[in-house]
Amino acid sequence: MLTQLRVRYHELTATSYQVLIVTPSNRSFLEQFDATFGPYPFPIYGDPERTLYRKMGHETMAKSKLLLEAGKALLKGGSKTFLPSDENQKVLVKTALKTHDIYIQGGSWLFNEQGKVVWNHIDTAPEDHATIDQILLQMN
Amino acid sequence: MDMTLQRPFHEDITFQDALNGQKSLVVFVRHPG
Repeated sequence: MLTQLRVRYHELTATSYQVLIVTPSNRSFLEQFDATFGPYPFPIYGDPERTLYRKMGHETMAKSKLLLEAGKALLKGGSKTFLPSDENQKVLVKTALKTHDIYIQGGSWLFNEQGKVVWNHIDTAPEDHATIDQILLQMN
Repeated sequence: MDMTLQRPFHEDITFQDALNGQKSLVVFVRHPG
């Protein structure tokens, strides 16, 4: 998802929305991410205790369900589905897979100027995320 | 909305301050990368 957001930076910044990223990482990991992948074009935040995730209704999924979905994705797309080809990036992503709560649900939210939610999608599986096209449709 | 978030190379910030009264797309990911 982060790669797709980076690739479609110009389309996203052409909307009237700012784009914020929340990860279950701590500051130290995000600084390594910045050094390894290059500066991210949108502000990226860490919520290592997943307090905001849970407040917004994102839950930690059953490990068995996530592994089943991951297995399906692996069969469909191979290991490149999960891991970048660059060796340093691959090491960092592998570290994230080992150290992060990767069972937490991802999702996309739109807020208006008053901080009210106007649209959201909480992923029911890793491959169930809203596409950039679907998000742009809601933003425009 | 006063949950504190960490940001690389910056001080902590609350989610409300991150929204900053602007229309916002907030994407929650399972891990960076």
